[in-house]
Amino acid sequence: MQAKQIQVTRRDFLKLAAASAVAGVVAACGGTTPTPQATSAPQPTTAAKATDTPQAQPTSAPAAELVYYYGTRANFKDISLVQDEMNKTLKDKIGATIQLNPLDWSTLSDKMQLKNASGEKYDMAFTSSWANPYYPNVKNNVFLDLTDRLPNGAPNYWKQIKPGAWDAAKVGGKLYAAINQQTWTPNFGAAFQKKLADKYKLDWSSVSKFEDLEPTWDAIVKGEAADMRAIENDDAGHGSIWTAYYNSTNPGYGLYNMVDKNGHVTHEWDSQGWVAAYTLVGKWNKAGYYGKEPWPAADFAAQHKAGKGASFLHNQKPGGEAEEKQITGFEWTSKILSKNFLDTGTLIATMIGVNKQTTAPDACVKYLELVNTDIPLYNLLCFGIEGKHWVWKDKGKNVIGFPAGVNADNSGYNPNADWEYGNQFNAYYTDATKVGAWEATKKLNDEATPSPLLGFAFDQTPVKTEVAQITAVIKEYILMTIGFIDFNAKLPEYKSRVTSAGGDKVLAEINKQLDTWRSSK
Amino acid sequence: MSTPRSVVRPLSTSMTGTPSGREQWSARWNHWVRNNGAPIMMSLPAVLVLFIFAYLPMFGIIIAFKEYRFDKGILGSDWIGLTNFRFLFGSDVAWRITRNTLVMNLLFIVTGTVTNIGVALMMNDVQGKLRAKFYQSSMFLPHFLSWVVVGYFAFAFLSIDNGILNKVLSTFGIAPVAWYREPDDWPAILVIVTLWKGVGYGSLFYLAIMLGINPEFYEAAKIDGAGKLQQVWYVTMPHLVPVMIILTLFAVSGIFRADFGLFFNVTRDQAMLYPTTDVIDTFVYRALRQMNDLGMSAAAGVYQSVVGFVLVVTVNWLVRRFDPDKALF
Amino acid sequence: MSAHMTTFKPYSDTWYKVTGLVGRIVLNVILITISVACLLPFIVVLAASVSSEKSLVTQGYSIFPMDFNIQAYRYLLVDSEQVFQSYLISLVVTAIGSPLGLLIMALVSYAMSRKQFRYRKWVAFYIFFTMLFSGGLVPSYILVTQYLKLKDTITVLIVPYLAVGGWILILRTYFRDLPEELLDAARIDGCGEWRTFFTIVIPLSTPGLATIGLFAMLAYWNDWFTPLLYIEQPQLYPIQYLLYTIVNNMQFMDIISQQAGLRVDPPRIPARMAMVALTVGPILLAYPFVQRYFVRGIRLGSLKE
Repeated sequence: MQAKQIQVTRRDFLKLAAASAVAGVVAACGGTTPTPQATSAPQPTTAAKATDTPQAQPTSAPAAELVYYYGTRANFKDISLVQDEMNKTLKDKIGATIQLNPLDWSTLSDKMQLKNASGEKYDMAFTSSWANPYYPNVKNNVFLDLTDRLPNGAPNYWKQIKPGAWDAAKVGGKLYAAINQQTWTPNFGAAFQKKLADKYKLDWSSVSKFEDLEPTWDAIVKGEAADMRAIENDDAGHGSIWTAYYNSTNPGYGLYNMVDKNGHVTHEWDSQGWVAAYTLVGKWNKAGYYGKEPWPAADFAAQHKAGKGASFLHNQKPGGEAEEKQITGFEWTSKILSKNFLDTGTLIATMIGVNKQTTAPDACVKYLELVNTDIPLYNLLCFGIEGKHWVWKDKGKNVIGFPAGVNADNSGYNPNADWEYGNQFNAYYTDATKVGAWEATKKLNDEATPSPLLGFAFDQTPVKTEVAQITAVIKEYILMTIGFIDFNAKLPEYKSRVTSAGGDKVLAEINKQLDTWRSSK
Repeated sequence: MSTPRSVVRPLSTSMTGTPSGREQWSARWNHWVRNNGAPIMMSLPAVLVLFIFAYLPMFGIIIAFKEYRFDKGILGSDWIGLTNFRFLFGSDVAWRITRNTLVMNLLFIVTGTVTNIGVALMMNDVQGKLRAKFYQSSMFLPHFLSWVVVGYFAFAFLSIDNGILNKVLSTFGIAPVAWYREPDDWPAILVIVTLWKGVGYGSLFYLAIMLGINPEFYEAAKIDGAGKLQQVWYVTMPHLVPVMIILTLFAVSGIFRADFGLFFNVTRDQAMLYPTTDVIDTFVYRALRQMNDLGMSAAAGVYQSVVGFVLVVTVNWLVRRFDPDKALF
Repeated sequence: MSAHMTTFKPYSDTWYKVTGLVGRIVLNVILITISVACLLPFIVVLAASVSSEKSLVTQGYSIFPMDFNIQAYRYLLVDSEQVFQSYLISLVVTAIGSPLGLLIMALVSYAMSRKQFRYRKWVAFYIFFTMLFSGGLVPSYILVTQYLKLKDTITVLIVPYLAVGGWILILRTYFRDLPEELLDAARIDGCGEWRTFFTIVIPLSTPGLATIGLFAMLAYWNDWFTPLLYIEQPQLYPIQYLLYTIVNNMQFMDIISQQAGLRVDPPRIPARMAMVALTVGPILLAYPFVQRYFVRGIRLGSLKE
């Protein structure tokens, strides 16, 4: 289920990343000083208590308290213990303390939008392509410019991340958030239930592209009961292949996936890969791989766990098969079928921004340095207090586990989200089978080919009417991505609707901004 | 019916004779206080609550006319005229969403009023207390289900693979129908779902009035030879009309606002059904979900409010000409 | 009397009895059908809440649980202290909010129903206007958090339904339906408006007040949106919001589980169903108390005195 779902979310990452890449804005934000807000009543928030005044900065004054908002899957009783424990280290090393403010994932984006819109004071916040979205925040001048502050104030952290990757988070040449290192490469492929792969003699060595799987799928359609789907799919577009596979330069937005030889984006229908992908899924649907109607997106996970799909198409990774087995209870076998590339969406999938209103910008930067380099501190935030929330299982290999009597349900601190606080490669392993995964992932990250559009963010303000209309049109054709809408029959209609919604105008605007972006690089 | 004004009339006539301006003023003042003092004090708490929590934030409506940037604030952001409204009208589905919103809301108003009054009338006639409670309680239950859950049920009912309806049809030898690809059937489906979910809540408004009607009126009507239906028509209905008018006026004011949960979750947002189920609210969601543009979503809301406002003021004016007491304001 | 009557009576007594009986049977059949149509899905919800997700998607829904599985409840209720606390918050908010709101709304409605009140139409318009236009979330948020400083307070949970335009205007029509002779008589007896309101109007209007009171209770009990905006401290989470966050956090579980090592695999669909059961339960217990006020004939009694 997991992988599946992950996949769903990965897909959303891509879509959102794409859209937000589009949505992002750019230039104007850099230089302007924030005008006094209509709404900025003096704000004695929980946050900066004694240290509201700027001169309270140096270490001689009482320590700043950094108010930090981020996502959580649940509320944990022991959060204040962890916070106190962290502050022992932080007081010594950066002369400030932290106030942890986890917000439920389901409410994070809404709550942060209200805080940002109302000018509420805080110091740091999680931001990404998919929650508390980065580009709209940059457009609204929410975050502090870190372009010079990070390399100067957090040199070791800065060096951990390769220079090209930093570019991904830049908007108008400026950096507004600190990237967390984690899986950056959206490797796309296929996974089969092992039982069925064996039964129908699937031989991965002869498979290098999706078409090579067709004989297997045909055999499954013929040989299995009617309620077994050859390819899992849902009405949110899961089961499609174009986004990640044919689209390795994807900035995400449907309209301009492809970069032509001049480095310009084109209409999607002008790209061969897009046409080929849509033709292919159309053929697959006719061949019955997708079933009679797509599953509702809400049922997808359950169907997957129930083993009602023979295969799924999504992000695959080394070690993914084992995870899949943990979720579904049966064996899987998978292969990556895409090129290894770096894309903006996954690169900015987890970051930390410093609020423009902070009174302690230097302390924030020092904190970012520390959380990415001080391994015990980082793991304290990730997993809690040693002995109480976790114990060593294998110290030599950095493997931890729950203490006796503690489990995932009753633990007082178990956020299980190391990727949102800092460099994930510093995290302890929670499972012995995962030892070595960080090195492997890092290798993939390092070897990946950067997308030519890596770091380009489109400011949609000049064409926002058109973008809204096109977005609405594209959504109407979502089932075309899994062949339930006949591609050949509907393409002319699709083209003309996107065009009349302002497709050409948006494309021209994007390419104009693209030229400006390139020349400024 | 005697008018309540008769009570105060003697006072006002007594004033006519007084020559002194001062006395006249004081008499008028007393009269004013007598008539308005208590009602004003009674209105004050609600008026204040609404002033603070509804009227004060209303200045935010200007966001709809601005390129809203957080750092510039609501007042400081640039005015951009009607730009934020353009996506609503420029789209090639502008006609479709407007028509669907209007038609579906009209359907809901008519069917809802008839059903709710009908059910209330029947409930009013139920003899056993226990039975009445059972009916009332069970009809209230759907109100507690979120649209998301209702959406699950709709799918369990209509799905082509496992759907209950298709299983039933197949026992009659009818081939299964892919309901989620048949836009023509959906106005009916949505009306049924809406009635089902709202009947317990909606009939209560009418039932509450019926319970207050003096049973002697019915006795009198019976004595005059009125049958059941005539009793309903001549005794019950006149009491219901004011509530019916109020509820209809509310509905008219919201006629450009569709129930997003219904149209999004129950149809599962299937594009195949858009010809009949795409409404303003689903379109706005679809167009703006990735944009985070508060100005444009505010614009959509203002558009819906203004149309509703114009309509309701018009209808209210008509009602007032016909019977001032039944008007909303 | 009977002689006089019969001349005007088009139907015989027997006719009344027969049509009455047939009518009553038809009426009960219709009502039973509707009730069952409303009740069944609810039973299905309960059954689904104790089923496994797998059986739901593969075998569909049913009024009996396919396989008895309380994983969903265990998932939602794992932090029993928090659940208890949240029920308490909801209870307090509902218990304070609905009577207070009902009083505030009944007062203004009654004032507007008095014909000698000169500004009644202005007040009505003032109230109605708030049903149509609202300033949006951001201005409200600024007002509530920065000027009124109500973030993370019980008060902010109580305020939203103290004066709801629609309910006020409906209450007004109920009050207008009161026999005016009675109110006039009260005035002539020297009753002030306030006394009339409390001693005559309120007792005579219980069905209407109970209706609006019930809606207010439901609105408070079911409100998850106000806490979404203004509540950050878990100890102030009402139950509906607590469950809302747990159920809606599930969609993020995938990201979490993918990135971190540990598997969290929530029963999504059963949990949504269990959420319904957990929030409706208390309301169903309270419902009979409200129903007591849906009684006929109260006015009759007072009219006769």
